[in-house]
Amino acid sequence: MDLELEIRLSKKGNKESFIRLMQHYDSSMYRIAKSILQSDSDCADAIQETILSAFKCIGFLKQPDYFKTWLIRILINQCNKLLKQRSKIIPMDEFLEQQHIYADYENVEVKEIINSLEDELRTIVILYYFEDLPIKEIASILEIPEGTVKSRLSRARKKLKILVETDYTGGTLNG
Amino acid sequence: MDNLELDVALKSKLQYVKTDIPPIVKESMNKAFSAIPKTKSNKLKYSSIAASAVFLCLIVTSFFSPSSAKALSKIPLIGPVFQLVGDTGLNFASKNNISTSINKSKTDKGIKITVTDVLYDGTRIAIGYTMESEKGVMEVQKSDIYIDGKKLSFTSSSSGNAIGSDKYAGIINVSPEIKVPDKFSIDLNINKVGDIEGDWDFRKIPVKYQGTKLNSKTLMPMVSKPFENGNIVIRRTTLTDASTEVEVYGYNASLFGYNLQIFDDKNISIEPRGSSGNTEDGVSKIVYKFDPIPAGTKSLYFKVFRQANTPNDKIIDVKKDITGQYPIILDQGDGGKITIDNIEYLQDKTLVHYNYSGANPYGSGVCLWLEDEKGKDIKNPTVAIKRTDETSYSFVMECFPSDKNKKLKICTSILPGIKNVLEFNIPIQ
Repeated sequence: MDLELEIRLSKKGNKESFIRLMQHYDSSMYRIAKSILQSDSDCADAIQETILSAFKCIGFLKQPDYFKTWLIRILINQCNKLLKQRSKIIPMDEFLEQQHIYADYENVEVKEIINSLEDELRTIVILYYFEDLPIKEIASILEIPEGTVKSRLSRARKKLKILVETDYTGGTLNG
Repeated sequence: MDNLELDVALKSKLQYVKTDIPPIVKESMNKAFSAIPKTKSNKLKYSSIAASAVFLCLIVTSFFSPSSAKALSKIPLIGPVFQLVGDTGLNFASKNNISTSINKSKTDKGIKITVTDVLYDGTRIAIGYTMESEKGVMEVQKSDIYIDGKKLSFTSSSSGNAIGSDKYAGIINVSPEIKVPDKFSIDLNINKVGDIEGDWDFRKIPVKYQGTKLNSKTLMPMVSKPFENGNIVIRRTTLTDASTEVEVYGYNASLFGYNLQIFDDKNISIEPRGSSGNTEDGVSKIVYKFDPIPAGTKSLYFKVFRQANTPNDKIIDVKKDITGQYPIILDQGDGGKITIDNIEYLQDKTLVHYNYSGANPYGSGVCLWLEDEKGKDIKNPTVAIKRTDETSYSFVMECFPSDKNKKLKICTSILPGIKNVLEFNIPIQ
């Protein structure tokens, strides 16, 4: 897929290109939404709003190189908006659902580790390790200092390293 | 293993972990895709229902709250669909017997759809329909439309309201991209309703041009203003009792991402009804549709604008307690101001009467919702906010029934203003 071409066509209002772009990033959008929101239903709402908002605003995107960052920023804004709306009350069924809230990763081990992360680490881990965004862009998207991103990543590494240690040895490497 | 090595190893592992997207999310994405304007591969074509991103968000929110429909009261279907849920123009056409009654029904998957009325006034084809189902209120998600056997590539918009817990009345507005004769037939094939795929096929719906029964005036202002690296030209404005249509051409200039407002000589913005257009060989054409202008209007003022927001803006909500004391003023920042005049607590609904002051009455002016004591939005998503007065921006918003003793909050958001980029004054001779 020629992302640059699709972004250029999308900026001109081409729906088909825009849909291809959204489908290209669908897993990313779901992972990120799920790292913030509790239910799949809320993720669905946030992603839906993000798609429509992005189509409406893509004409204003000045640097196509930053398309992904731009899209994630819209998504996170939508997630935060929903989160705010939901923050007042958490019904019991949703509270119970929180025990298993994270994205449906094929790899059970990854799911368990991501599950065990604190809220403030999870989105950063998704953006850094899954989406391969630089620290500077993560700081910009989450509107927190770069130092905070680094320190949270440092905390997250302690929990994540087991994922690669078991790969090398079948057990654990020294640490 | 140092941090760098660890990061490389983690990234190389995690970036290949497959994430399964649940069906509810996929479905929601597909709904969003079908809600955005369509294009052709070699020609840029698009249509829009919404006057602004804000309005768009409101419409989309309204599509997918099926649970709220359960709270609707039973109201019998009285009168033609055009009068029940049509805009000002369709109401006029129906009341003056200008539209054609059809009344053809098809039932599939337990859902009965009836095409009730049709109107072609020279600028649009409007098809009125009702939908009845024990499965609750649903909207048409997918349809194909043929004029004399030729498939249209897009429909300009659809709208409607629930008229009971199991009935829906809607209108499909078609902007024909091909020149249509005075008499023709429409084939309407509805393929999907709500989440249910099916086949509701209406063949040979007879349509005839009814514009001769309407008062109609065509202006050819041909006014031009420089824009971007080219020019924007207002070529034709068609005014009828049922609608207003403006053809805008861009020569080496595109109005994609911009919107058009029309003001009458009392400086009241005419309600927009969508737009459609195409771009070919550097020339873009957009046809904007509006409600009919008030009788006696001597001149029109056109403003091309865009919303001054960027996606980076944070959305800040403004919420005020309803204490029974009015007015309640909600400040939207640059977006304008909403003044709540009164709230009526009726048996089957709650009506919020309010005024808007600001530059974007059909964008910021309809960004309003009511929250119950649990913070749940109780605005009825299947009933659009309606303007109630021709000389001001007075609106009424319909919400689900509520007790006036409950602690409700009336809410809006801090919204960006709009930026005018071009202005035209067109006298009506």
